[in-house]
Amino acid sequence: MNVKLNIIDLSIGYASKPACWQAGKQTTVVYKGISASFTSGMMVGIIGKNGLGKSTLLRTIVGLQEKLQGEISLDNKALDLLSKHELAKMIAVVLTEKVGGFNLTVTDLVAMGRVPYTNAFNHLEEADKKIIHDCILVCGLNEHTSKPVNELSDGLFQKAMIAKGLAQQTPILLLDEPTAYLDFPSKHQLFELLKKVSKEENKCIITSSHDIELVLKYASHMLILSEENEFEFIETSNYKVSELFKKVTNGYFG
Amino acid sequence: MAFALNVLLAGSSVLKFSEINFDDYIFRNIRLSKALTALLCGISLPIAGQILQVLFRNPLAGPYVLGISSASSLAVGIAIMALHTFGVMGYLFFSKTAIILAAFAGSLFCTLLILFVAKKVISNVFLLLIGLMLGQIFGALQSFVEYFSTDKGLREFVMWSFGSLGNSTYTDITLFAGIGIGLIIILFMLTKPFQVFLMGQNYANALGVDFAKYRIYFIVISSLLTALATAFCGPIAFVGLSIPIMTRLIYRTSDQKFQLTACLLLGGITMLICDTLCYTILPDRVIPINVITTLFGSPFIIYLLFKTRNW
Repeated sequence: MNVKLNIIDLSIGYASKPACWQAGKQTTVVYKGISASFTSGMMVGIIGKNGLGKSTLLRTIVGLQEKLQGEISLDNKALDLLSKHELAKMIAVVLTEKVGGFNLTVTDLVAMGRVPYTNAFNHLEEADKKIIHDCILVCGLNEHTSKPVNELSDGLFQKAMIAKGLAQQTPILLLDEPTAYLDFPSKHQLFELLKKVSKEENKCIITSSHDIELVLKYASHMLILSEENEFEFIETSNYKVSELFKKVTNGYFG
Repeated sequence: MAFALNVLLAGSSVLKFSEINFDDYIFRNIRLSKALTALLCGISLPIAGQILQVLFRNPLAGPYVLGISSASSLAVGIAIMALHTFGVMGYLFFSKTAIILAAFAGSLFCTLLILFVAKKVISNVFLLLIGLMLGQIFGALQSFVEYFSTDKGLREFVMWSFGSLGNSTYTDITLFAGIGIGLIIILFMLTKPFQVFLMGQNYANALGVDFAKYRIYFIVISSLLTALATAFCGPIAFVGLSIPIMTRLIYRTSDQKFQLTACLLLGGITMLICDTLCYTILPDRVIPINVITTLFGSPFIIYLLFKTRNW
């Protein structure tokens, strides 16, 4: 399925509800004026300093927090018009927060990805089970299926979360700093996996990361958020590595 | 079933099964009603506990963590004191109904406060802290009431707080069973969002489950179950907190349909056993149910915890 995710002049941040005795609305703008267009098969790396709004952007796209201004549209349909349930079939997300406990195993976790598709009693059909199994295989977790999630190493946990995202069978997959706690080989493995998925399954993958060298190596596009509310959305193949590196370092060091 | 029979047979004098006369007044109105109350209590409190443990993703949560039992204790304390003050305590039926109503009203009041907070704030930790603080406030007010209470009133209140399964009439039981089982059936219809709640707020929303909406449902179900049990049996300690922990340690699955069913069964059986023990440990004396549940339950949990490496 080919999809197109358009962001036009988007302002992200936090609108805090005022206490009942206060008038008006207080907003904290984290970043404003982001425009970009993502399509299937893209692998986008979002780069920027801490606190510039990488996570906020991802959370806004997936509907976990409200946008302040601008538009997000999916195949020319405004995202706000989609219900939570419809959205869950279009966009999957891997956040930085940990889940686990309550006897949750890797298989159980990946099975959560089927929730948007199952019936009211969350019954898994044979087809669902096959998808779960395939996603576990793709992420190389077949030896860990019955392990409790909270016993996994950071690398395996990220893979399990990605497997859950894949089981959701959405055309778009968002990841928030998936490589944060991983060692160097695991980071490469993870990006390799993401690249493979974006190519083979024609998914649009958008990931934030501080690992510039990985983004330079694997991403097809980059969204660079820099301090002065200037952002760049570029295709990596249009630039030489040295130019890219300059852009990225500009983003980080101003 | 076997345990249910045990409760029926054990009493101030142990009956043989063949001696049971179903028309016997004592059998029908004391033993059978007691067993049914124990069963209902053992079903509703663990379910309430499991709901809150999953909602807060914390095994330390129990049915009383939102201040519900403190609120009903306070209400009962006030009711008992008022009854003594106005000198109407002697009229047994009247005072018993008053206590049940007070306990239920107290629980409902606290539930409404919690719901009001839950509608205002999104954070679960915030909600948990508010619940704990409410519990503290009600506790302090209760001490205040106790301090000014008469000796008789105080004694009566302490007796109530021991918890008792033996006070229910068949009208009470029908009410308890009707509402309680209704709530549990509704909960079983909501097992899908309940399962997804294991993932926490953000992931639940991203999976298409409206966290804020279902959180309200789950709080209402859990609070009403707690309110019912507290109103009819007093603050029964421990089962609500411990049975869900036990089922998770014994049955290593995250499937909430299974865990809730296990809570139902294990909770019911445990309460029946505890009720039997109340009568059979000491000759001619009945031990308060709360003493038994805690004294026998806690070591068992500790044993399970040591036996299970990861939980």
